[in-house]
Amino acid sequence: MNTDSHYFIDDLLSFTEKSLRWCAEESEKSASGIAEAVQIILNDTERVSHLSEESLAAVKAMKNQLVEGLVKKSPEASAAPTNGSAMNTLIVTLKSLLDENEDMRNIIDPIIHSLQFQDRLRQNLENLVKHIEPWLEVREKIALAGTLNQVDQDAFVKKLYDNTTMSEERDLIEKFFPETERPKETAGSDLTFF
Amino acid sequence: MSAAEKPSPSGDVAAIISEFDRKFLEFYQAASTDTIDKARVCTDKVFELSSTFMNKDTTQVLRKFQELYFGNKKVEARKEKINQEVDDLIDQIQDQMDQGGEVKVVAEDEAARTERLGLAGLQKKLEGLITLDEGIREKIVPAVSSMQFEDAVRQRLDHINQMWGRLAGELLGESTPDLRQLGEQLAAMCSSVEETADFYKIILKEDPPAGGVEQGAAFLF
Repeated sequence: MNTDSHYFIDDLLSFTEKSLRWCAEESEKSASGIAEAVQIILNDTERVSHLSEESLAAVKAMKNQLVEGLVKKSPEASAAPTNGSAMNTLIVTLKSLLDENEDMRNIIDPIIHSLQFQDRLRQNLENLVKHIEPWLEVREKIALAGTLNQVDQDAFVKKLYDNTTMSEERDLIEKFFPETERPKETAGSDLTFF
Repeated sequence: MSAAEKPSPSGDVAAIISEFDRKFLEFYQAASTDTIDKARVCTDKVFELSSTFMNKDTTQVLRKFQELYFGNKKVEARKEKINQEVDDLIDQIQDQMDQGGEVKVVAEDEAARTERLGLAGLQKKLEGLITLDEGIREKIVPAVSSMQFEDAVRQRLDHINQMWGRLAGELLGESTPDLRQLGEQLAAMCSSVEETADFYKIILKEDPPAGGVEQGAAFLF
């Protein structure tokens, strides 16, 4: 492979990273849709009338948290890679809210589900981009060595596993690369709440 | 190092790389499909959330609209076929007018007509929902935003997969790839203004063509 090709690959990798990062950031921003939905629910006086004062205040606070924590990110913050901590914190807060205010279940449950799935999507998008570099590295190795040995193949697949955060991502790697042993799952390795 | 100093891999090595590429790209395609499915589930969840304040009819119209306008390749093909047939009809009428003869109404295939009117009818229904009921506009925004986001994710991932697949194939070709030409061909895959601008800036090192490109569905609220 010549130098021009290397530059082209590097550039395409940069473009891929930017594209997937854009998707991940948009995924986090799309929580604004959830915040809007919560606001519409809050506007429905009939629906919220059966909530206690305390629960109603909690829903309002939650909506504000959605807007402030996820939507109104500073330009500097949104330029940086997302880490999902805001989303995770919010989901945990919502769950504790639910524990304290059972009358809010109908409102809170769909919100938690929406946020959880958005968080999973964000993780997926962030992890996808990491897989390309190991692939390119092994391509180079094959070109230099003239072969692909099992050690290099296993090291490559291990890198793919290392780039995951959810068990379903690892299931997919195992399906496509069954000859490499799947690493044992460690407690808490899955960042989601399922 | 120039292309002449280090040629593309050939023979057995190229075959090994090709097999490795195939395996990886198949995996990557599957991983992307999983991600697109997750984006769809996200939209489903926003629909569920919205269904607490959107009536059933609105939800159904939006769902149908999503099926027709976002990411359904079969529907996309149907839409293209309908558009092509309508273009053909117009061309035939234009030909008749150019020849100065009597303009006859060209017969349209009945099934195609039904399908075309069905699509138009659905669009009208959605427009009607938005314009007739002031309150509905804000209520459908979360669902429509999510649909648009899902569509954008699908497009971006599709493009990434196609681009890497195409590049991997070119690198294994017998001749040195014309990277400028390849870059321009890959740029043509981009569908949004933002994506096109990024591609031109990062890969072609130039400004995108004036006017940009916007093939995705867009809504103005």
